[in-house]
Amino acid sequence: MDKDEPGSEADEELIARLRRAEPAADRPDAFWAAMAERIKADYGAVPRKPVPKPRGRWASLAVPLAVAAGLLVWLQLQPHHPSVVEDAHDESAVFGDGEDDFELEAIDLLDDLESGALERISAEFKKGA
Amino acid sequence: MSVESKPRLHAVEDLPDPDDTELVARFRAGDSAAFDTLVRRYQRRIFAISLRYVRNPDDAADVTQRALVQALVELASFRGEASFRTWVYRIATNLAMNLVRDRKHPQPLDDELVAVATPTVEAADRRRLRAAVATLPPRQRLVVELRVFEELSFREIADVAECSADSAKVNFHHALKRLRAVMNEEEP
Repeated sequence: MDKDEPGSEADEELIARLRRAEPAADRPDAFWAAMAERIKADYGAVPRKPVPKPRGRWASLAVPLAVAAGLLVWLQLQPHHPSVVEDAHDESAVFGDGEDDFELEAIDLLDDLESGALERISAEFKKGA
Repeated sequence: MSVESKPRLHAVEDLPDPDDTELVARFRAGDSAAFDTLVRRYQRRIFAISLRYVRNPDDAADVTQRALVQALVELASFRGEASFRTWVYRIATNLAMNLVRDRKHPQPLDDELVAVATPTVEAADRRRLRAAVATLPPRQRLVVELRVFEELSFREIADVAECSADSAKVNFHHALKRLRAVMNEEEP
């Protein structure tokens, strides 16, 4: 019992009275021997599960590591098919790959104008000057 | 004078070496002698606890047998880390309380029947005290049983009663207060 728990005198007196009031549990030795035999027999008759063995730290990592390794191997063995999504991220598919890009020169634009339009522009340019 | 310095008033088996921890380890390793020792060590105590609750030797023997078998089976299967003593006490008190709860009528003890036939002041006092203990709320009664008769520490009682040690202590003091009040009321 706790060594730092001295009860009051009234408590001690009551505890002593309680102990005196305890029912007698004494029984002959044969009673205990017979009970021990019954306990042993009952224990033997109970079906029991085997005790699960504790797994070590490395053993507990082995299963997830094996699964991850298997997944990697499987992915490596899959044939590669470029997907539409992959193309969508390729800017060259939308904007060209740069090989066909060119800058328009002013003279290129003038070449496209008809002679009447060209004269009007020339007249306006002279006016402005 | 502290509770523990008082001499024990009831016979309890000596607890020779090895201790419970070693016995439990040996039992788990398949040592049948350790099994026998654990049974012999606890059957009288469990019987005494059960008898205080169920008040009938046959029922107390039945509770003792079932509690020990259950504790040993679980010990072999589930690798429990709790103390064997508090574990088996918890199982036994639960079984005993369930049995009492399922009964329709309270049962008198054999020696109470004798006391009624040949009344003495001491026998009457014993009977009133036992009746007063039986009226305590279950948690308070359990704490009293384990503290007074089994001399468990409040920490061990907390393990059995599945509460904190402080709660066990508070319940014990409330129980004593209540018992004193009941006994004072009934004092001739």
